[in-house]
Amino acid sequence: MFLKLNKNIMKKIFILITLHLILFSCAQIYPLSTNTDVPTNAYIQDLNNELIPYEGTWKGSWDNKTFFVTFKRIKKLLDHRENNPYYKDVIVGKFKVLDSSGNILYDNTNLADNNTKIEGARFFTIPNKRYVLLYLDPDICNSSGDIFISFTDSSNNTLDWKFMDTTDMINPSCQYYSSNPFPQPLPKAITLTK
Amino acid sequence: MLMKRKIHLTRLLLVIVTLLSMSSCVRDELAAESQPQVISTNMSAKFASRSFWKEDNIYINKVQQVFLKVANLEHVRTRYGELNWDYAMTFGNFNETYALVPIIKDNKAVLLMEAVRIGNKLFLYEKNDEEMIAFFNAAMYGKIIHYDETLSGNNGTLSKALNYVCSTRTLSVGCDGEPGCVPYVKTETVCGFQQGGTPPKGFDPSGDPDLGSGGGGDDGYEYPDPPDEIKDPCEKIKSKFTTDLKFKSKVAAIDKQEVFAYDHEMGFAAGYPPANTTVTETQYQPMENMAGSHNVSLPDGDQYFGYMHSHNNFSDGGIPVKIFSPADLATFLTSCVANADAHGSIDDAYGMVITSAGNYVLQYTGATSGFGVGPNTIKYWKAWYGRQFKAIQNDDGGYDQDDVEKVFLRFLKEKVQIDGVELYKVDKTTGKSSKLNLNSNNVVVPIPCS
Repeated sequence: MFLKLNKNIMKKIFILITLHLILFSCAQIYPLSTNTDVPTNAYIQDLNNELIPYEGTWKGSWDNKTFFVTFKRIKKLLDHRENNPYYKDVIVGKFKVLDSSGNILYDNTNLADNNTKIEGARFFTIPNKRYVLLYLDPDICNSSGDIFISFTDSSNNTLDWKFMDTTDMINPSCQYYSSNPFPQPLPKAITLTK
Repeated sequence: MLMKRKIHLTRLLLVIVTLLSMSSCVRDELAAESQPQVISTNMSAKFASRSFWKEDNIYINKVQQVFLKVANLEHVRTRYGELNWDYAMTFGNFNETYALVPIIKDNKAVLLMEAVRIGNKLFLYEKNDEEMIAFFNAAMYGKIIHYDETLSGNNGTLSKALNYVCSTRTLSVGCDGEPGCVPYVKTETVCGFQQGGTPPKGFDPSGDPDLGSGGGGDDGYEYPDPPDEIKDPCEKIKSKFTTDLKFKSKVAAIDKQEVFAYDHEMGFAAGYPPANTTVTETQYQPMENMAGSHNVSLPDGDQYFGYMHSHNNFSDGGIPVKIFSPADLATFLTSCVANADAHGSIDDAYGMVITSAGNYVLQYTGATSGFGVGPNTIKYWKAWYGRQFKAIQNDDGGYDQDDVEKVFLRFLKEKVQIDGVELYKVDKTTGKSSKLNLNSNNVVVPIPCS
């Protein structure tokens, strides 16, 4: 009788511990619209697959150049804040620019997914829904900017691309300080097709 | 066996003798230190510090010189007593600003003379603080068995007295075996001289009514060779807006709605006058736009110690952040501060951003300019900055300026982590500035400059 009782208690304790372990091993999930701080190891997940339509290789022409950009959704570890790493589903982008003769001007398509020069940040919804990505180019004196992309048709086959340069002040230590024009690999405004 | 024991005993004796001799050395030193000192009765004798602590001897020496120049010693003796310069204390101040000098009558301190330098003027005040006088008596006549000092800086309001130091000094007074004696501890904290409030009673060294009392509301005495003043950032900003007409006109040229509506930034860099010329004014150069971009560049040359530039309202479909960018901060540190340090005074350096949502100034109060801010650092700064500023944007891409200030201060605190980089906001109408700080709850606290 005593042994049976003991076995029952043991069983309950085991179940409780297992449940605890399962609960604690699962990171807390937050929707993609979360822009506030999240706990360490939390996961801001694209629960509604909102990012999927942006995936693929997009192409457009500008200034006698051809621009290719490949977008892909990845689960990225964001550890830029001390002691507060977390995961987020983001679109990352790799691009290639060819001149009118087909020569490669810029190509970073071989970068690893977690080390791209373009990384998604969030959606804006007013006045229209658009996804914003951050551009940061260590090869051009840490040139930077915000990229805004939005679909222009219901079939999600054309994409409006706008680029806002946020590089700001350039000082003489930049190797392109005297370049005219300053290297600008990304188009400012373009329509891309899949 | 016997031989071995002998060696052991000899070694033991040697250790004991060494320990005893060491202990007697310590005692001799303490005894010599704590014996009542011979108190100087000649206030015109050359001063030689007998304080337990390090004092600003240059200042005490100069104060004594000024005092002897103006004092009628007979008057001082009769009215106050004998000044004991050897026990003058500056309580952690080493910028020739503050000292307390005990005044002796009948072998005890009865009053203190407070010597305060402001600019090139020396003011003398009476300090009749019972506890403080008792502290000086303990220092001069007590059997001191221990002494200590804790220094701390001010971190309160921003005023001209920005760099004052608080010193807490402790004396443990023991007994020499006299019956009924109880050891005691005396602690006093002095934070230099605080301006404002009711002026203290002037100390009158001359006794001449025509010359005034020497302190209080009077003009003070000429102080020889005052050290160069390090102006606090508030003073630096204020003087630019009040005395530098060129600076003001350049700010006015940028601070316009039409400039904020441009598709590119606009700015000026401030440079030291060229060497070996008669030019003495700050030289302002336009900051050119990088060809084909909306960015500005700092002109080439190591004379540029400051800059001012605009951040636009809109740019290519986006809304720029209306405060310094990581590149602005990097330029301020690696060019302006470095150039100021090399060719002028490090505290000349400044950066300014002029926007429709507010004008901001970066100042640096540190002493050195080697920051090690290279491309990798800027990359990580930009990654942090980009992500964090995206998070505070509203759904239309706009910002609340309160959030912008807060995230930028967090950027300085959490990511940049360079002591001495300070952010000021300048009122567009009044030109008055406030230092923006983050409190422990990450709330922005403006501290108005005086």
